[in-house]
Amino acid sequence: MDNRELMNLAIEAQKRAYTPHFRFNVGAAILTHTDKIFCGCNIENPSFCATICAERTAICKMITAGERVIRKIAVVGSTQDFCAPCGICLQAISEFLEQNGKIILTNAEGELKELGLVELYPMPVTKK
Amino acid sequence: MNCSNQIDNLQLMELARGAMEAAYAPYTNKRVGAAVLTASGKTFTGSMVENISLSGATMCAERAAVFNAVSEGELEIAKLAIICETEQFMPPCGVCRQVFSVFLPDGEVLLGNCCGEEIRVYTTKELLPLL
Repeated sequence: MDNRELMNLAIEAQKRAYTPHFRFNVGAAILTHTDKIFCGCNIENPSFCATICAERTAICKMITAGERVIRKIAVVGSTQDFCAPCGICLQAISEFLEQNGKIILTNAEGELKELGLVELYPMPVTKK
Repeated sequence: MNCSNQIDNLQLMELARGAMEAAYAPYTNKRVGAAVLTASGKTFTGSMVENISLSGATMCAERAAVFNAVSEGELEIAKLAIICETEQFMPPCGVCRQVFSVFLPDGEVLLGNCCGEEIRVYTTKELLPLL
């Protein structure tokens, strides 16, 4: 699966975002090292602590299905510029992204950007 | 809270070390402390507070220090010192970096360890380049 196809799945997941409070819709799609796909959207909550981002929704689904290794994760947000994962999601992604795994971002023009973890999250806190 | 215009990195790290000793870490036994210097010259400290849920209920020292400052009306933080009870210079987790991007986007993050006076200095932007 190429980056464009994975991003298209993230865009489909974005349509299912639950965002009655901020209307900021985000979608994510994970390709595992076993070629499985897991998609997620953000789910807001009036207690903002209970809100979960699209990236972590997808990670939770992946883990629940018994998968542990992310090869690529595509993320799309409702922004003009490339929408990068928040620090909380970078922390979560760093736990499961394979070495040389990629994070793929897009912008309102539909351009794609492929980044390694340390370009977004240098010196990650990890036990690896 | 203390107020000083002259505090240097070593002094800020010493405040963090004091907070480290107050940390509540019965599960990992790795205490962490932090201290912030606000733009107005005030200092606030924070200690790690673990929780048996080991999830959202655990609070890192860094965020405890930042929220300590913010709750006193200090929204601009110039420097934040972190010290961990290990030989390692422990970088902040992603959750804390996310908070830094709001309250010290142009600030400095100082890392210390339990073994000496060496302090490693990073900017928030170095720790979270795209945010």
